[in-house]
Amino acid sequence: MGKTVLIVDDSASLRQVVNLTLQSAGYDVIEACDGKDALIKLDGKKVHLIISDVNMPNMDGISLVREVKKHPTYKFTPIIMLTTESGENRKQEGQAAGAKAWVVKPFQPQQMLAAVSKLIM
Amino acid sequence: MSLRIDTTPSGRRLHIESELTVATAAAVREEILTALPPGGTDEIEIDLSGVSEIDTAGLQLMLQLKRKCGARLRLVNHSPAVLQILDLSNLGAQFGDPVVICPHERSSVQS
Amino acid sequence: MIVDEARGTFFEEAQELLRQMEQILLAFEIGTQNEEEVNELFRAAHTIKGSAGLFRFEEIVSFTHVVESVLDRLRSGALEADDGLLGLLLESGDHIGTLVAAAASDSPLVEAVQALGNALVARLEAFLPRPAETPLAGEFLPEPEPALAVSGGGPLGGADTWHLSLRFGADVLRMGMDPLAFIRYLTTLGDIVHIETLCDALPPIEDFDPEACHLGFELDLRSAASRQEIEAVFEFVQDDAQIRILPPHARVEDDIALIAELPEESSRLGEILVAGGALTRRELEQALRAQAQDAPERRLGEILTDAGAVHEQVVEAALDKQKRGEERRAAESRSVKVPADKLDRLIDLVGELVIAGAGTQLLANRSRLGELAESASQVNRLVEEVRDAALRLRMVQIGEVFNRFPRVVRDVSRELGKDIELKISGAETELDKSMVERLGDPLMHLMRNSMDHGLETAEERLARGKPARGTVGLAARHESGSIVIEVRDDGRGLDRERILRKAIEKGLVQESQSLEDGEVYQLILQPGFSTAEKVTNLSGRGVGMDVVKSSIEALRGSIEIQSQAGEGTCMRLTLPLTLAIIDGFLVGVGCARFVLPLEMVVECIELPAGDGAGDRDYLNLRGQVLPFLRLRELFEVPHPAPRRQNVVVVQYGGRQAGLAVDSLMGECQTVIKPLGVLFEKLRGISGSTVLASGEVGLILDVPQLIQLATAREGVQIGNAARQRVAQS
Repeated sequence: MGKTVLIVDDSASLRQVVNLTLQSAGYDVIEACDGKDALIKLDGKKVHLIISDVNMPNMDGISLVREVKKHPTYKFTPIIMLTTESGENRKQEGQAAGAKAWVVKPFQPQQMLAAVSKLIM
Repeated sequence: MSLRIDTTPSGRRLHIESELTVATAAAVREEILTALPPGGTDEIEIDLSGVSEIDTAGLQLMLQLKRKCGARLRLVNHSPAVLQILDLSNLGAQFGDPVVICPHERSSVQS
Repeated sequence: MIVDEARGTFFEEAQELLRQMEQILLAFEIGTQNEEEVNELFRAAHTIKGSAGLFRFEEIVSFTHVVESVLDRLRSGALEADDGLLGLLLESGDHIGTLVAAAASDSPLVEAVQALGNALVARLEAFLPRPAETPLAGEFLPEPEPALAVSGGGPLGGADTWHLSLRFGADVLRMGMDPLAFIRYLTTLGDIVHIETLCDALPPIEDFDPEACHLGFELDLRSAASRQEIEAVFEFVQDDAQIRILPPHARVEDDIALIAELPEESSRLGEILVAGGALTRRELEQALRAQAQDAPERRLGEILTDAGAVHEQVVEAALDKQKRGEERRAAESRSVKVPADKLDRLIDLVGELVIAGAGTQLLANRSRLGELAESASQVNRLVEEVRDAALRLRMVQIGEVFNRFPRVVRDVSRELGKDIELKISGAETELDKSMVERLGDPLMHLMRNSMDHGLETAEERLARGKPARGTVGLAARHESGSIVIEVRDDGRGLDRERILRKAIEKGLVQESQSLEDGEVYQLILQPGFSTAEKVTNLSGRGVGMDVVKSSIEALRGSIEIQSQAGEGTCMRLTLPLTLAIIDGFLVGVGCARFVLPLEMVVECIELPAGDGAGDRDYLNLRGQVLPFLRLRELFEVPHPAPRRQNVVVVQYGGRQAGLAVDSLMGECQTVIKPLGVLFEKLRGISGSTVLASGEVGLILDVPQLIQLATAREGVQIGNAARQRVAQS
């Protein structure tokens, strides 16, 4: 049975690449374009991993992590945060909120697949 | 409810019918503790065929059950997910339960 | 390829974001501006950069990075959005658009666009706090994808057994990190030959927290992966777990050998161990923390060995290395560090000084004032010394480049499953720093090519009666004013027939052409030429040998290839020592002045009277055929030839040719000025210079002229001539 990954990013092309990469490795992928959209898409269904950008319109990644950690169904769901080399200060904020896995943008599809495989395979 | 309890001639059979992960471990433990009050002596079988997923938290829970009840508790009908994690952690012997591996499951374990 | 499918989405998205940026910027210009819009602006640049990186559009990434940095300062209030900045940002947005369009059409950037980009970057950087760290082109290249070892299927060839000791913090499960998931992932790096799950810490079921992790693991992993690769598996839990990785025994020897080969730069034990790959950065930091907190009097080496991170012998090897480095540094302690650009400026000035000095000398000589002439010549001698001293300042040892190869060879040999030994000689050979910087990539390519295509597998080697271990050599030496660098291997050698077949197939040569071995081997340097039947991860990356050739030629160097079937191949690079100033030899043809690099001049002879009138293009030089070119004809110099002409015999890359000129005017110092774009394609001319008299002299491209002369001479004439010479 394939495991399900939620990818949250405001860049459609980034979502598409992550989606295709993970799908070809056998994962099911759900896409969301920002934090608010992500909470709607979660909607009680089983999700094994969340990948989220930090800087997004409407609801940013850190707020999303805080929401997810409050949610009984998803509070232990692993989260990979996408950051850039300039986003160090937000990384500390995110870690305090409970996001421990960080992947630096730009990344290559294989790097993302490796990161996901480490957490759920 | 993630636990279903059948009574058999020799004792009771507990079916775990959910994933056995950190997300459910606390709830499953409560249910099992309720079902197995201290001082019981009957034979217990835990049916694992419904365990769709299991992680380290689930493995810990199984280990503790086995410790608490010793030989009167048997794990049966391991699902592929359970077999895979027993194989990975090399703990099959620790449980000492006969594990029937049919060819189909074996291959899915290795994949 | 997954990425290709999504490219279209990226281009659309980028255009949309750029439009958005433009709108916001235009709105700012008429005075509406709020925080959310500034954020949006930043986010747009940020998203373009992030996604461009995914598709490896390096140019977009590096340019947008600078724009993003400026927008970040705008966002934080460190900058005011005045008209100047807004205009610049609009222009920058347009430039990103150009870059995106170029990427979309897969076309390389034209020079004008690059120049515009550089100019914009310079203007943008004025808004950044310090000289912005503009990323180097390579900075965003991802780490090489880890080579996934095949798991299962019997023992891995050459794989070693690592021991991993894993203790996880109680909270890892709550963070969504499942220890068993990491262990499962380990199986992609190799085989877990043994694992022990430690349950001792598990409290009774009644009073334990089912969401806390209580298990530990001890496992043996048979894998060819590096320590870094193994450690990277646990990167997400590194702060919340104790991960100890004990290297296999075979690695210990490797590590010791590698440490011995390291450049003597790092003075600290930990740095040496990290550079040698015996320790990861994180392990070092942990040990240093432990040292600082618990045991300041204990030595780092002890802490590391006690923690089981490193074997004692490795620490000893590193300590030894440290000591030798310190000794050397003591000798160097009086040196001064100078930024390279200051040095370049000095060299430029010295170049101008040389020209001006020669001019003064000329005037002094003409003035017939003996004292003035003497004083001018004294000044000139000093100028020459200053020149040499200045150039020497920029000389560095080529070891700086060579030093990275022990590691490369080690990694590649593991990747390819070949046992490869690297022999380095002449690492102390000095050459100009600007050359050193530009030699790294071509050398890396040649080395990888040798290891990948040149060397056979161990089985093939044994079958041919060779030692299983292949050797690649990297050697440097000075040779008549040039530096010669050789990359050799003792592999299978080049397959003459296959190269020829392929070249004919590609239309590079005609079937009827008869070529010498050397010429055939040169074919592999042609664009689009690759004989590799399978494309491997290493040399099949799409960068051909032609790139190596053009980067060497850009340094005024040349490549010569020698090969012996079954015995190996040698790629010989011949390069000038410096790029800025040469000792020249001045000749005249009519009123034109030409400069030859002095080190290529062998001798000068008079053109025999009979031959001068004849139309033969070769002469007899002490029994040898010497093809020659008449510069008058070649460059169509209008003046009629004088009665007496001279031939300058020049030599390059083992070949000789003559150049017929009118007059020999002696040695001169020559500061090379590149030719303009218009003249780049000129044959036989590599640059220009200003002569002491103020005239312009053209610097001859001797290698090209020799090639021209020998080609013109042709095979038939050559044979005839050889016979004639033999008879005479």
